[in-house]
Amino acid sequence: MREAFLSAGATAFAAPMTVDEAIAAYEASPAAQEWHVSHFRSDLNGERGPWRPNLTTTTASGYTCALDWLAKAMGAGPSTAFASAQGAATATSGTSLTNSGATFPTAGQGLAGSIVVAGPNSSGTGSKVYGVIVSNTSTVLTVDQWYDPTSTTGAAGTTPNGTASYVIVPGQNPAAWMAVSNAAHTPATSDTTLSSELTSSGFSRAVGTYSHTAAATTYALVYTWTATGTQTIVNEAQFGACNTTGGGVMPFESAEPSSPTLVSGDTLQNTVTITI
Amino acid sequence: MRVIAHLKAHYDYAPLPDGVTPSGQDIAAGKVRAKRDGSGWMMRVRKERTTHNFTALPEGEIIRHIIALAMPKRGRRRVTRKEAISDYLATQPYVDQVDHTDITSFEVHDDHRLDWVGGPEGVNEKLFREIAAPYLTATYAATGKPLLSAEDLEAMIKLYLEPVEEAAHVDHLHERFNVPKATAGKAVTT
Repeated sequence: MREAFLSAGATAFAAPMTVDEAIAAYEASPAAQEWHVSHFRSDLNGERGPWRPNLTTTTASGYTCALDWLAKAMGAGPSTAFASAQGAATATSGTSLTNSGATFPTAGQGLAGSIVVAGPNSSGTGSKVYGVIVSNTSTVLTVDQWYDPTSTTGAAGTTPNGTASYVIVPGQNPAAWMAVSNAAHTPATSDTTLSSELTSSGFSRAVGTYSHTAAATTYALVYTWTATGTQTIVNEAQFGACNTTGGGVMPFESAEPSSPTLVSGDTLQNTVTITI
Repeated sequence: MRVIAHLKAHYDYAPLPDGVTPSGQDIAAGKVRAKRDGSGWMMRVRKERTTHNFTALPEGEIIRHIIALAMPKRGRRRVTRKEAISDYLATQPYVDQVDHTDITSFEVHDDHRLDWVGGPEGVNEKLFREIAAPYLTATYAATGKPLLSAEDLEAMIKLYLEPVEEAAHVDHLHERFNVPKATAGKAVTT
């Protein structure tokens, strides 16, 4: 959108137009419907690859839609404040937290994408972890996993105590997980998952390195894959959760140009530069 | 590992004006990049202002970069942890954000002081062995031998475990990016 405004502005300086004409030009451009632009490049065995365009999942349904993710991330979302936003669990598992007396919001996308932080119970027993809520009922939060908060790579932590205290934090989990796939699939703005996402040959989903220059309009995510077997990389995407079953918010998706086939020992370092 | 590069200017991107067509050299040099939908180009611009770049570099990614450099197709290069960090910054996140000549100083926050909470960040031999394990059995087609031998791994870990304080990281980054020591940054322990 910012890009479209700048383009419209540049055109206005070159050839004055009416506001109606500017609106018509703006609305005629599909790109004008996007809230940001994203670009990728990759290094194959140390050789820099080409820039390529990607897309944002702006027409996806459910909580995986990039626009919904952004709105909830910046505007706090449904987890802003409600009575059950903090409390004590009555049961936990490796992917869930139950409070049998809670009334968690379930309308629309519910609390999907929000973070729940769990800590020791009233006796001081239990781990300190957090999870990304992928769905919920009025009494049960289902998370992708419990995270070790000291890990920058999304390492799993210990399942919280069955009577753990918890807080549901406003906002959304950041989309810093990077993934690749080997399926013949043309990315679409309605995609909610990365088709045939790779989980073998050294290509599992992982958290990228975050880098940003203060006041710049971009930030970058970087991740290094080294192959242990043969795979052809067709598409890639960024996710807002570690969910190894292929879930999580997927705001960005891109096709790999010329779909490189990597053999054992080949390295792929992807740098994703996202313009805000 | 958190690395802050203090800057006197930085790269940013703006739409390439209509009617301007980038050459193949422009594209190869990274002066432009494709727009989101492939409809045009964004041009790389340099903005003069005092600012800083912040990079949060996971320990696992440092290890993966060391392993990537040790692969046969990349010359089986062996590097220390501090060399891996500087090489990673130079070849990955800084390429499109920072011109090396605009760096005025570095600041390094290493994570080895987090050991007390049992976290995986900071120098971590166990994590190194876990990440390297698949490459001890995966073979290189040209030779039929494992991508890494047990001897390779031990040599790599010896280099990785080289004791380095934050000040030494800062000194090395200044040397790697040719930043004068007169403007050396501070090393901060967290």
